[in-house]
Amino acid sequence: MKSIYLFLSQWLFVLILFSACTERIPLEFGSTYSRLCVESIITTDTMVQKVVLKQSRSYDVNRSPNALTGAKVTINDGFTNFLFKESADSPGVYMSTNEFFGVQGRTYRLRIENVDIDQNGEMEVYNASSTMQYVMPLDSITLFYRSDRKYTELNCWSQEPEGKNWYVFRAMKNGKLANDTASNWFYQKDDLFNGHYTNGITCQFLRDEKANEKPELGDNITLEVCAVNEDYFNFLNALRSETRLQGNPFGGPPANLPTNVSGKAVGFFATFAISRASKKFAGRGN
Amino acid sequence: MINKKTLEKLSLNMRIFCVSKFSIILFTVLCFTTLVHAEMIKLEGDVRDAESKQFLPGATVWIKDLNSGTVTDIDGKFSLDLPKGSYLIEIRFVGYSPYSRLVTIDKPRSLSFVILPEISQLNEINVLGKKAEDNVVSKQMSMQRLDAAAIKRMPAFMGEVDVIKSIQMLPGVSTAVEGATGFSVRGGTPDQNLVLLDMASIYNVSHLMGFFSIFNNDIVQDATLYKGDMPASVGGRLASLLEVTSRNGEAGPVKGQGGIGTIASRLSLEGSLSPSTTFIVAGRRTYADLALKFSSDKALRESQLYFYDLNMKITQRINEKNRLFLSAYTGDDVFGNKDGSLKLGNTMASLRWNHAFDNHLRRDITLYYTGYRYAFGTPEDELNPFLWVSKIEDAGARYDFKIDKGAFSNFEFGASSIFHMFSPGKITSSSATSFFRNFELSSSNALESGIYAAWIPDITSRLSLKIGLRYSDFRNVGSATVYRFDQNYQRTDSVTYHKGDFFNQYGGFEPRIGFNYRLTPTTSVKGAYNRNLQYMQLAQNSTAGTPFDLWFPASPNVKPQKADQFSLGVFKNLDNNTIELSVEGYYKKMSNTIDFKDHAELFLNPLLEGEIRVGQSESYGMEVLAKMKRNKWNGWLGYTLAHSSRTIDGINGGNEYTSPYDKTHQVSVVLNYEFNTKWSVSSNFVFSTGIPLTIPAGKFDYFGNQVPIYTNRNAYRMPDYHRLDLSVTYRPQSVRKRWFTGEWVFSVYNLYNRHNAWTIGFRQDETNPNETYAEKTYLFPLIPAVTYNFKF
Repeated sequence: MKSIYLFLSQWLFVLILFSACTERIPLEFGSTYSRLCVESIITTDTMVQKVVLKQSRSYDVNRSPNALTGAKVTINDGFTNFLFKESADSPGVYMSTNEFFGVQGRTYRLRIENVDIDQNGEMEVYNASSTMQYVMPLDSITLFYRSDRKYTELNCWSQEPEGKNWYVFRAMKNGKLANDTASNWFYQKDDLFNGHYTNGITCQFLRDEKANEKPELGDNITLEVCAVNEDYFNFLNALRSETRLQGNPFGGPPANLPTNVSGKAVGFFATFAISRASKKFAGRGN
Repeated sequence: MINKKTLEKLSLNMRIFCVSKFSIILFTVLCFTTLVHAEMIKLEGDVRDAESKQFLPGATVWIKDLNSGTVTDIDGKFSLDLPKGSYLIEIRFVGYSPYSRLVTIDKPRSLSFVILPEISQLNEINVLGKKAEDNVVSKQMSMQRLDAAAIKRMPAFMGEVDVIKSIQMLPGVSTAVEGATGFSVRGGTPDQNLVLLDMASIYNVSHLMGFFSIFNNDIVQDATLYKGDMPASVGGRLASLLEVTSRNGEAGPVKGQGGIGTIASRLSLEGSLSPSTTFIVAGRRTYADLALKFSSDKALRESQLYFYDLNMKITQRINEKNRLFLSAYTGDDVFGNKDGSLKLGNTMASLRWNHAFDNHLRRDITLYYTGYRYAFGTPEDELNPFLWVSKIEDAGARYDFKIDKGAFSNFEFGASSIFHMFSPGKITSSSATSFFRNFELSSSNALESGIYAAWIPDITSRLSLKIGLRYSDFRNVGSATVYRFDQNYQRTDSVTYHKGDFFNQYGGFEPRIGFNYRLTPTTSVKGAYNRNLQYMQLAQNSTAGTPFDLWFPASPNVKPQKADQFSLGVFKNLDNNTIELSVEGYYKKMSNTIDFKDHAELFLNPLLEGEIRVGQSESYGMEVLAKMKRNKWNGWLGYTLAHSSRTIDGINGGNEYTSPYDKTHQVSVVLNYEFNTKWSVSSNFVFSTGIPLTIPAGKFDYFGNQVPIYTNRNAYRMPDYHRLDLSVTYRPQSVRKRWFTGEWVFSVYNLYNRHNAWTIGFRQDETNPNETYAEKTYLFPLIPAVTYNFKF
């Protein structure tokens, strides 16, 4: 979504960054205790769904995070308890069977046991829950190449339903996410267009400068619209502030991200109801 | 038959006869003094209006050292017999700024005094900064005035002389980020400063995202900053009052001045429209966009990027007792390209009627309008066009009385009322098929009123008091929708009020008390206690602020902010008042301090009030100022030692944290040296402790992002900030008489090219995503600028 806020942020920075310079500086970072980090999105796709558990680390540690192994991970959908087993190949990755799928309207409850992250000898239990929202079907998408900005717009045609809704928009190229970094996902709530036809509004871009995004003639381009709940929308909003826009003096003061996981955990347990529409890329001549 | 002249003389005699009992006693003392001193020397003279050069009958000529004086006669002349010696002679007249001058009486003399119409419109207790010994004798503390000449002397960023940037060089005033026009006074937030231009509030003083202010120095008479110890006549903000007064046009044939600068040019014209009417008009515009027209890029050619200011003031002298002042301003920032355009700016107009009942009683009635608005939209021929507008407007009226009978009989009283109109945001689309629906944040209104009275007596020759009391009243007025929240800040329901409904009220007394005890003629101790209430604030949680930040009023959910400030200082003048020293300490306690929850959504949020968190804050500090006004040297040295902190439930775990504008040490040195009439040089040096910084202690991974984990807010600091600016002014002296005079100003901002941190961010390395680091962004390296100023 070409949200107004993004547009304005661009206005703000265009002048200032015109003359700005950056340089790395040494800083003495503090330290803090290790926390459980939850990274999981349950979707409406039928597939192996994952819950990834890692440990947080000090800010100046520049190596991969430690996986959290040996935990007992279950997800309850209100009817059934599903055990997510830890992958033998990927420590800290807990997986469902390949027949698992989320159902719109159901509330999913995550429970993580057998964890002693603070290593005090007492096992901790963490809980989180998320309700799968309802997603609008997409009628179609159109692609439009902006030669002045060197990116391809993914424009969405669909009837947005009445009621409060929150969305994440992701672009796929030939069936693969063009950008799997969460801070680059587009997200929007519907207060400015609630119940309206989307009328070809731009929901994502594919940039020529990024090899994994740049479309070539004949590529199958897919727009993925994911209905999420408000808490996750707020989480993504905060995530962008603390990553891409971190240190922006036009933004708010730095603060920890919200989470829906209990205890002192970080991260988020989210549910995505997804609808998609695709189109072949016909080149940059529009 | 009695002619007109006889009547005027009779009237004057009656006025002299009717002076207060106290004055009669003083006259008796004068007569007694005259008798006991054998050798008396005659001092004669006259008093005239600086603008019109007219003689002023009834002006007081006061010999401060003798505690005696006289008044000018119908022709504006006076005569005094004085013992031999040196005396500070003070000229006072209702509607004019007091003027004083040290005069040595060793032989009969004839002197002509020229006084300026009073430029302050706030019924200040004393018009400060005008009298040589003012630093010591004034009852006002925590106040500084900069006149246009002093502001102009300072090296300017990109050559654009700026009132706000000059104010930021004073002790007790700090900026959050480099280049911003938002400023913090004694630990307060930028929205706790009331900025008035000719009595009307200016809600956004910034151009170009804050790098320039809206004040064109060609129109500025002076700027007065009250750091909390505000006059009883003004209220509504906790931290400071910045009163900017525009110039009255100079009487006579039309004259002009202007400048051609690096980024902007300006031109002003002034003169007389009639013998009793003067005018001044001034304009300024940037021209970066004009250069874009020559770009080979079509998109750039079609871009708009500029700001402009237009000022106007008309002064009408109706008769000796009545004067009218009409002042107006409008200005905008305009950014645009083929995708959309943004326009934002202020408009104000004020009309003041000054009436002098007699020499001692003056009344001012002021009516004004002010508004700040922005509009952002896409072209109407777009598939999904929209237009978003937001504005805040005030319509205000003031009624101010001032009685100045000297000694025990100085009073001020009056009333004011402002009707605020808030239209925080409305989005409309010109296309029926547009994706955007019409969206509007609830508009609302408020009525803010105040009454005040102040008694400013000289109790003894050493002790003066300032006893003021203000009562402020604030009422929310419909139509409006008010959301109600539970204790977890979740919306429960809403109440809609109809147009004209008064649905919520706050009010309170605001004492404004002070004293001045003169230890010696050149040394005094001053103290003050002030309470201020604030009923409006900005929804702003960024350090730099943006032009989209919304003003919102106190309401059933938002209580007014309150500040109690105690200050104490020692003031001393040296070397015949050419050096002024002051040391002030203060302690300020604030309640209902507003901050916003972590990651608050302040943008187009109908539930904005649910994002607010409320608590306590305090600040304390010491400010040292040494000002120098020598023949060739001018300037000041300022030092501030300060601390400010907040404690707010829901922020930083409810623990105390350092305020975002806190700077422990701040040093500013402003110096100007006039070599001769051709050459002068000026410099600014500023040093300050870095502003508070929140540094991550840990991090975690989330879908390709390294997300910081913070432990304490504002527990660290940015690197120290320091900078030196320099400017050289060259005034060519032409042998031939030309119709204009000019000067070249060569200035350098950040002379030693220090990379001061504008912001520090925490980044993830692109090649090694596990690596994170701190990155400093700096804005302004060494920036040279040239400006040519001219007068004709």
